[in-house]
Amino acid sequence: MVASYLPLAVGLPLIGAVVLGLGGLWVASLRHQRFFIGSIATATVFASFAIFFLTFLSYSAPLRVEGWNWLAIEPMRLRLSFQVDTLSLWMALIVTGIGTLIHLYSIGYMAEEEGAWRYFAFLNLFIFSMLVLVLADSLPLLFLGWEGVGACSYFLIGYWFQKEENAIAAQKAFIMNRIGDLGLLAGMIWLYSMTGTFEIGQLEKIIYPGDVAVGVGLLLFLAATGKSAQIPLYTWLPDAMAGPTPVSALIHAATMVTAGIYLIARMDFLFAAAPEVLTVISGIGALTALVGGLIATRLYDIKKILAYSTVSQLGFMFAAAGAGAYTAAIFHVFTHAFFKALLFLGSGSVIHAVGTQDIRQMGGLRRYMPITGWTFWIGTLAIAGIPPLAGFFSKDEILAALYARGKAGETLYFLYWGALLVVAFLTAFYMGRLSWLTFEGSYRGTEKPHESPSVMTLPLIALAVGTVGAGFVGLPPLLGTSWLGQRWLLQSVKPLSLPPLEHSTELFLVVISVGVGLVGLSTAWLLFGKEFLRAEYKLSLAIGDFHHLLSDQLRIDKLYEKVFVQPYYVLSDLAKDIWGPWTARSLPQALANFLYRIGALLSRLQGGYIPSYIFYLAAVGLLVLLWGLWG
Amino acid sequence: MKVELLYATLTLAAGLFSLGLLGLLLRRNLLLAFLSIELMLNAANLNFLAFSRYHNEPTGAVFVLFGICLAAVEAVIGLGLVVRVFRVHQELGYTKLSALRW
Repeated sequence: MVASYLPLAVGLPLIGAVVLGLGGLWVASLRHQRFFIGSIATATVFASFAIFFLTFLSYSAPLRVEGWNWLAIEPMRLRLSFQVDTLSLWMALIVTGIGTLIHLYSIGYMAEEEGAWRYFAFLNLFIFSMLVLVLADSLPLLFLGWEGVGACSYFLIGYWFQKEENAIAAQKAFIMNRIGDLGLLAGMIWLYSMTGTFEIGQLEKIIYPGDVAVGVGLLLFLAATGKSAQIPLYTWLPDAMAGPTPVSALIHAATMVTAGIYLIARMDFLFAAAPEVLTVISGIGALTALVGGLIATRLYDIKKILAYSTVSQLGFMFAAAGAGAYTAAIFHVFTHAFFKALLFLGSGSVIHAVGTQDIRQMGGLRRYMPITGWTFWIGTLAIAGIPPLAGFFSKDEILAALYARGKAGETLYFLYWGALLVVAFLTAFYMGRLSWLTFEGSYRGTEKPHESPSVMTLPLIALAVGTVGAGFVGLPPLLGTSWLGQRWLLQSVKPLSLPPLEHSTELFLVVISVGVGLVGLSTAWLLFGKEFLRAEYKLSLAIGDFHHLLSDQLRIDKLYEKVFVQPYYVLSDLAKDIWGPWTARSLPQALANFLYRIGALLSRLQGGYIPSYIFYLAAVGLLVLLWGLWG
Repeated sequence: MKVELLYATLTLAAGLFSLGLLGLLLRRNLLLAFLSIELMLNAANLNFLAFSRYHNEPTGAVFVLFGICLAAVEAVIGLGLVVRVFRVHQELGYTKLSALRW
């Protein structure tokens, strides 16, 4: 019954995007109705969420929504259809649920913006693309959504394109994603050439030889590193903070960047045949988590800190996916969507209030903006892994999965586990530092801060409630059965089997991870609770050059500049010198001349001299006659 | 109708047609061009009639009736135009009448 509304659920955000986009483009007076525009955009996403939620309530078996023929190039026949199973439905719920709250928040955040229609049109388009991505039943359709979210991300990072650096950041995100997309495209085509099908449901039934699984797996992982900001393609995400803050919350924290995790969980059958690739994924994830966490400790830009925190948390998810614990990874996607969206929206509220992103200019803001302050603290505690907040459950499940894998004989995973414990400490530390510097102590800025309007604080409260409650869908074995991991997701995702841990081991792991989080928070409190400037100074002296390296974000951008961008320039200069005379000008010019000559020749036939026309007529008639006689 | 007569008639028609075509190609006078076209038209009519008689089949004759009718209509319009053009330009050499409007 509800299933018949599913096309509507996907289509509504698209309709919203088209109506708002074209309406704003053609009807100038509509552009000033910013509240109206925002309400329409929010309503479409909320309606979509409502349909998915009803589907969720009445869910019994996977649904297929058959669409029309899309690509029919024999022997390939591709239908445009959607697959609603437990995994894709769960992702759709996250996307539309968090999306609704962020749309609502945006009404307040973008209230002063002239281009709000453009913003909301792209935000709606993003929701549509993301739904296409997660619900697609074939790889080309998934790719379409994948590219769609990338394009929307580009549009929204460059929303304030009048400033050149924002436009450059948008291009950087787009181009780096393009490198990853190449991996998805190549992997997709490789799979098709092997199996002759693009449909995920068909691909699932095939047993893959090891080398194909490794090759395709690595290509798909390359795609995931691009979209989900992992080493080596993560550097676009911190720059993507040039966009409006709700965009950072929705696209660059809660939804789009988790597409890589979704891809791996969706293609779990492939990775099951390539354990080597899983080890690589886990390693890259752990390393990225470490790098992100380290850099986040030394920055002063509130959004950049959160961006690196996102990179780091995505590393957690990849580490889990690489351990074969896809359900744990998706669980962390779910909880992270709540608390990271909360943190980003909170930071947006702060930026709105004080007009700067530098945490050195903040301090003591909780007194001026209590709702933002308290909800931000909830987010901080959640990401630090303090029970019973959401982050604790999912982070704990990931750590337990890595530990169990290590115990099962793959000792490399013990290393990953250790690295992630360090990251857990760093996470608690940098988030504690951020929260203390922003909300506690005395105010150091100049502008008078104020609490944001209720249209902005309401989503904060809703997300805070989610942050407190979301973890309970995935209880650890110690406390009961994880509904999300054991009941819901297992219907469509097949995690690698892990040896169950003893309760004592599990308790030990929980104590360690919570302890590490508490130590991180208290270190931050001890250092930054009072005189933060002196503490910062001492800390930077203590770690010396490392401090400069970290505050320069490890100078990865400069490295890429040297290794990839400069050689590219050299190569193109070289190409210009060698081929330039031929390609850039001469060849097209020669072609144009050739066509021009033909034209000149033909134009002589039309001289305006009537007897010549009659002559052509007679000549052609004669030719036809001769042809008839001989042929 | 014997086949020899058919050949003779077809030859006559081909001769008439060639005469018309030659006239069209060589003369630059609007009126003479018009006459040549009529000549070619009648050559075609003659072909129709010859085959119609040879096959004992009235369709060809009917076509000729239509053809003559059309030729008459065409003559009315065409000659009207020729007269008009001559009145305006005092000129019937159509290579000199090249301007489409003035």
